[in-house]
Amino acid sequence: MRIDRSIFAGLDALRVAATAPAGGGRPGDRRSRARGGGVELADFRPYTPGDDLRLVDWNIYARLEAVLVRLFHEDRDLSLAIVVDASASMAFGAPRKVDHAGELAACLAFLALAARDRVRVVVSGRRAAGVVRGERLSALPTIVEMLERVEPAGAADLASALAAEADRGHVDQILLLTDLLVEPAVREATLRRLAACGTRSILLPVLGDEELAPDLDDGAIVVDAETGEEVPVRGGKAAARAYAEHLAAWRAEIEARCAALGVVYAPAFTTAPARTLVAGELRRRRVTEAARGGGR
Amino acid sequence: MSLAHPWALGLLALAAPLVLAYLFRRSTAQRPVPSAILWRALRDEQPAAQRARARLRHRTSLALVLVALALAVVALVGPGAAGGHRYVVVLDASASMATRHGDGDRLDAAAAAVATLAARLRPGDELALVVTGAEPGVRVPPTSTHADVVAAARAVAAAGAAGDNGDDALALRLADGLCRSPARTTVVVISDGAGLTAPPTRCPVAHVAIGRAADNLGVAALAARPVDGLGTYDVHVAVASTSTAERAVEVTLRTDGGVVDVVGLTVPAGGVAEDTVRVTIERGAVLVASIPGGDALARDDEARVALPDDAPVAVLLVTARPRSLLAEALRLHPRVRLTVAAPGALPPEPVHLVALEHEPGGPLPPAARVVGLGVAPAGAPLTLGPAAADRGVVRWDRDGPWFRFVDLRDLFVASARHVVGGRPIVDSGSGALGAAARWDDRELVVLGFTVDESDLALRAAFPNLIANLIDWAAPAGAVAPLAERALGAAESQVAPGALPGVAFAGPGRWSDTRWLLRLALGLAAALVLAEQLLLLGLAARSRPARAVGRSA
Repeated sequence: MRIDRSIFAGLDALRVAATAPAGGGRPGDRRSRARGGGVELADFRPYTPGDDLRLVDWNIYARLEAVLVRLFHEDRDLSLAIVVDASASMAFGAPRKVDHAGELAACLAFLALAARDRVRVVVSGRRAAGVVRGERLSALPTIVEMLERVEPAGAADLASALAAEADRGHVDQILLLTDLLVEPAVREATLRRLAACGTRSILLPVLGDEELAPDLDDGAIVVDAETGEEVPVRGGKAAARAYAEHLAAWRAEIEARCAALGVVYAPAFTTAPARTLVAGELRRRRVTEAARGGGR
Repeated sequence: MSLAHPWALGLLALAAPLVLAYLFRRSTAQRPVPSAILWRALRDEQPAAQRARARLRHRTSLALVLVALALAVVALVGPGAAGGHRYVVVLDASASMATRHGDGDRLDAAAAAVATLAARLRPGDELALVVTGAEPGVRVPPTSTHADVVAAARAVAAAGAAGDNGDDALALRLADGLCRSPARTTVVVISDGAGLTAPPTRCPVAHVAIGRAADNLGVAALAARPVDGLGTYDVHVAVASTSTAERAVEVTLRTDGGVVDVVGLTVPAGGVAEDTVRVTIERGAVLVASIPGGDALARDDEARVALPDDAPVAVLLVTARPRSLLAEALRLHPRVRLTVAAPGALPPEPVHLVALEHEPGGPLPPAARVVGLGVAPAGAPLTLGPAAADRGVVRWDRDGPWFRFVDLRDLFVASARHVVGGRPIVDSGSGALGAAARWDDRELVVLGFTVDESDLALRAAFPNLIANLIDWAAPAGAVAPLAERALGAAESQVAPGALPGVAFAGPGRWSDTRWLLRLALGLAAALVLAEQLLLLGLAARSRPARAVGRSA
């Protein structure tokens, strides 16, 4: 798969939204909890020996005869982890879900790198596993190349991949791009792990036409691409209605569970191009925001 | 309609299990999906008998297979009648078919047309050959051995064209008689149409036209009529032309002794010219009329007629006057061996002709012909009746052998009696003055008046009458059979004439079971292939999409 570099054009007006103070350790453009050098007054505290006398607020001393030092907001960078599911189920659809997820991950990585955020892109799959870190836009080509080489296969263990991310260190935001077509127990474990990974966890379910509008004119024996499970199914209009109801219930269940776990649920179906999602649905869901004047 | 292989109809029973299989077929197509999780809700728990009926695409597939089955059955059953079609070929072998045509003549082309027809027939078809012309008849009865008919046609062509179309109706009736049913028999006339006549037939008639118009001159008629029994003949000759321009031609009349005369004729374009000339020819000769050859049809460039020989005719004249006018006339005839007998003293020797001027007064000697002039022999079917009130001749049998070149108009008859019985040959206003009848093994002619009772002896008709009587009574003699005679204008017309029926197009492809078999099986195979492609297309839609390039 080749990602068209032109999709990044115009995206620099956006950035990954941060609803919580950034916890990155490097200076950036994000509001953080850290108090230190900055330009915006955050708070006052009593002077302790060793503090920089230039930080003493002499006006307060004059009025209150208390020696207080000024504390400023320290802008830090946002640390972002983007995990892309590369299991066999992601190979279906037109466009393939893994290709769509790769484009979306590339766009999000661009937004982060353009805003001087740190990003870590992880591909989780049996055949395609990789991690690329980046702090500047110069890392984008490497990220894009890794995403272009992704070939889905096997069953992905997303819970383990998320646990590995957690071991790599705290991240402010973790985004998981997956179809989440796993057994309920595995799904629950994955969502819990996702919720525990970062300050802000975002689930971007990637579903394609195979899930959203499958051909149900005829019965067949469906074969699970990851597990090989065979299920004889019926076809027809009644079957199509039953499937639609089941799909809606399944999506609703996931969304409700995400809400309960504090995970942001932002559908990223292949029905809309990645660029459109970044500027549309994801912005509406506060996954992305305008790069100027917003989100502080 | 009978079928070639009726057992193949049993294959239609295969349609039942095919339909059942489609209606109750279990879809065994495996369909890879990203995950079975979302599909478990559609697990097919229903028994086979309650599965949903085939959708439109499967019905289309079923229809294709059923149509293929039907086509295969049709091909195996075999359209058309068992035993095939019967073709009765009427081959025109008349003289006009000797017209030059390519390297051979029209008859050669007709034989080739028979071979072409035979080559296009199916093994079950029958072919028969009827020939017209000099020897009309059925040459080959209906047979499935087409080669026999082709060989017979070629043999007819090798023998050459001869004769006229006088027996065309017979030939076509023979052909129609070989028709077994109008739907399964076709009469095919292969002819140039010159002089062809075709009666109505029960079976359909088609034709194969042979030949094209050509310039030709031919002796259309030749006839010789003796004038005086002394070797003088009136020779009538006619020449027909199919040329588009007027032609001048010289007709040479000759016998074995040499050229007798040359008759010059100017033949109009597409017309006939004729003339009658008087010549003196030795009796018993063969007169030949010929014109220069080199045109399209050589057979009509010469015509022959055999002249009767001068065998003596024994005549017994029964008269009381040995030197009557009739006796003298008979004595002068060169062929007559005259015996004059008085009534009651008839010689018993047989003669050819007995002429009665008086009652015979006794039994007549054996004679094939008897003529009575004012006398009716006793016991004859002809008798003399009352005196004729009206003795003016109003009618006579001009076609009778006695009256050639005899004109009885204004004949003065002083006295006469009506002749009763027989067939009148001379009539007056009040009754028959002459009659003919069959009298046992003799032919009898009786006139109700004598030579002396009329001015007949003063007319030029009298010697003709005597000559006619002698010719009438003359024995057949050793006359040489006429080898050939004039073809007639119709056969000399080498412009092809109208042919009966429609142009024969030959056995069509649609009547060729073998071609239909190949077509039906080919269609069946194509339909089965289409059905398989349809199913493959259905299966391809369920495969996961491959990597899709997203470059701009």
